Amino acid sequence: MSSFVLCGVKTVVRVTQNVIVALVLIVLISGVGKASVFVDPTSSYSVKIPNNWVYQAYESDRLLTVFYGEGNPNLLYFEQFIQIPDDTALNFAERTLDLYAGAGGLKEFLFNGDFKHIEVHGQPGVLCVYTYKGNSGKDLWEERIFFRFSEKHAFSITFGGEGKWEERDEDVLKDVLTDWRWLF
Amino acid sequence: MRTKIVMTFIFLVAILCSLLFFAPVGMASSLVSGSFERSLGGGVAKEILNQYGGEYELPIQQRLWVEEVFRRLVECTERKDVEYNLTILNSSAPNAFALPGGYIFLTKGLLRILVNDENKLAAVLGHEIAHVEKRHGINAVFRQMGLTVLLEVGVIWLDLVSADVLRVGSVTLLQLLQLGWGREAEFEADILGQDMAVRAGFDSVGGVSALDSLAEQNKFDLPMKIFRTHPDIKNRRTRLEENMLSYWSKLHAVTENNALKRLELSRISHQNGRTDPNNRFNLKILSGKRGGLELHDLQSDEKTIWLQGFHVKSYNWSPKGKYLAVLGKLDSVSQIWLVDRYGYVIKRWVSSEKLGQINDMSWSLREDMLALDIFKDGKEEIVVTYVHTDVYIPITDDHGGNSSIWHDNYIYFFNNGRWYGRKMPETRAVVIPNPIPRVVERKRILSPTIIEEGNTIRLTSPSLILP
Repeated sequence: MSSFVLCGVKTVVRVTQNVIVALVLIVLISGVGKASVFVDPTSSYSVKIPNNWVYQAYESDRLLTVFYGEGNPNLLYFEQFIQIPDDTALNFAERTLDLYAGAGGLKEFLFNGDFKHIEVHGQPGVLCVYTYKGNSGKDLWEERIFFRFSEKHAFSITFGGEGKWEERDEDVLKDVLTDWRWLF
Repeated sequence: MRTKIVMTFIFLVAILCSLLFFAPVGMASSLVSGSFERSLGGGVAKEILNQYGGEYELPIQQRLWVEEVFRRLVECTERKDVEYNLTILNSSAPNAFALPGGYIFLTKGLLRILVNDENKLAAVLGHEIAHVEKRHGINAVFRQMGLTVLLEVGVIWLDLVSADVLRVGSVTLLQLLQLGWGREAEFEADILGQDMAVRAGFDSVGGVSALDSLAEQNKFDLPMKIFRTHPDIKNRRTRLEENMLSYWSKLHAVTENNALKRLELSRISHQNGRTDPNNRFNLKILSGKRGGLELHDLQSDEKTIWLQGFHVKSYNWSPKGKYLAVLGKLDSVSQIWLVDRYGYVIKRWVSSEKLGQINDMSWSLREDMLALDIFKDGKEEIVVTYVHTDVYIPITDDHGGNSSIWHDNYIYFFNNGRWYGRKMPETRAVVIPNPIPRVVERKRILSPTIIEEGNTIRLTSPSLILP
């Protein structure tokens, strides 16, 4: 057999091996990143929830949906509002944070001072970050987005956790927002 | 001119004094201005705050909920010269007060006992507001101070508040607060508070269940102060229970053909359609000595026996399938056992001389009430009871009747070939105006510990683990 032929066979084997390795990797990666679609009971939104996040039935109700991250102290929750007095998402956010900071609000509440205007699938919202001392005495942070829809309806998406906000897994909220769908 | 003014003043004071002297104390105090009541109450309010550890700051969401219940009640008040305000006191001792001028106080200890039940809270707040509406506090102060101050009162009426009267009044008010406003005042405040709660869209059962919660707490704690200032709990509970029927509409005969047909159909479906509304369980009554119900769980395709030893006659799922009411006999005594979806018996209604012989039952659409068809004193009657509170509302009101059926906000029953109906009082859930997002904090998760023992695995009772 000529070396040319041998060389061709080797090339084919190498390419086949690479394809197999790539396929295995794709299968593995797709398994790790597998997510399930959650559609809220009132059909207002759908979101891809990673497999290692657990829906909390006892924390949730018709307007509030809560997920706990497994193996980490994070949580994700979404809440709807039927009637709010605020004209804009920013007003809604400001009124909320004023109450969080006031009497009966969150302990040691600290707002990072910035409202960031963002858009989630065509809906404008306001994102902010704050920290506070939880009931358990732990330092907690929340990254919250406020939305104000027509007819005084409103919505909030929250990603929360323990410790320092700067050390959070940024991809969680990013992924949630990327796959977010409004259903109205 | 000046002489004329002085004469008019003396004339007015004389008329007032004679009015006050001959009028009952209640009427006398109704002549006192709202601003005097407010001055008197305001002074004592500061003292109350000192005595009870100051104001307690409720978490925002709970505060908004309490404020909304309070707002709805205040909307139903009649006195427009009073500005009501509510303060939560930082005290674990369960107690509530009302001071002249509209100062209402509730301790955080009492709020804890009322466990976020809006009907209970409305009843307690309604009771306190009623004291102010009926001027029980100011009346008691006048009774205590005697008629010697009537002249002073005349001056007060003319809005020339005397510092001395305020000082003496405040001391008297503080002393009286420890004793309560008197037995009749408490009864009156109970009923007026119940009226107010119903008008504000709360369930009239709140007063009874609040008293039950307090009595339950009293069993475990040291006798509570609230029982010393509010005597005769049993009597008050009976009066509140007896008054509940007054909030239902009067009996009316059903004459419209379509309605009659609908009732007949409902009657047939009530007798035959006793299936699980969630279509998960099939039930079969087991006859024989052991009795009970055979439950076929269609989801897991497993069969289990519920209520063994109970000789079941019939059963009835609540409209949304939360509860199962089972009628049967134990030791030849007819009774209803209320079971949840896990098969736990959570309540029993047993035939007795007081309640009568229980023959059947039907569920209200809200799932919180059950109509019991009973036989008592030689005739059939229907009483409505609550799942969570032991009250009995005699719906047939001595007219007699059977085959109770609920439809919309009405209960119907059959008597001598005719259908009759009554409308239940309407209730409205508390909706917080201007809500803000809730802050959810991760809770510890209840989970069993897995213990491996050779080839077997044993699970302990769930215990708390950290995430």
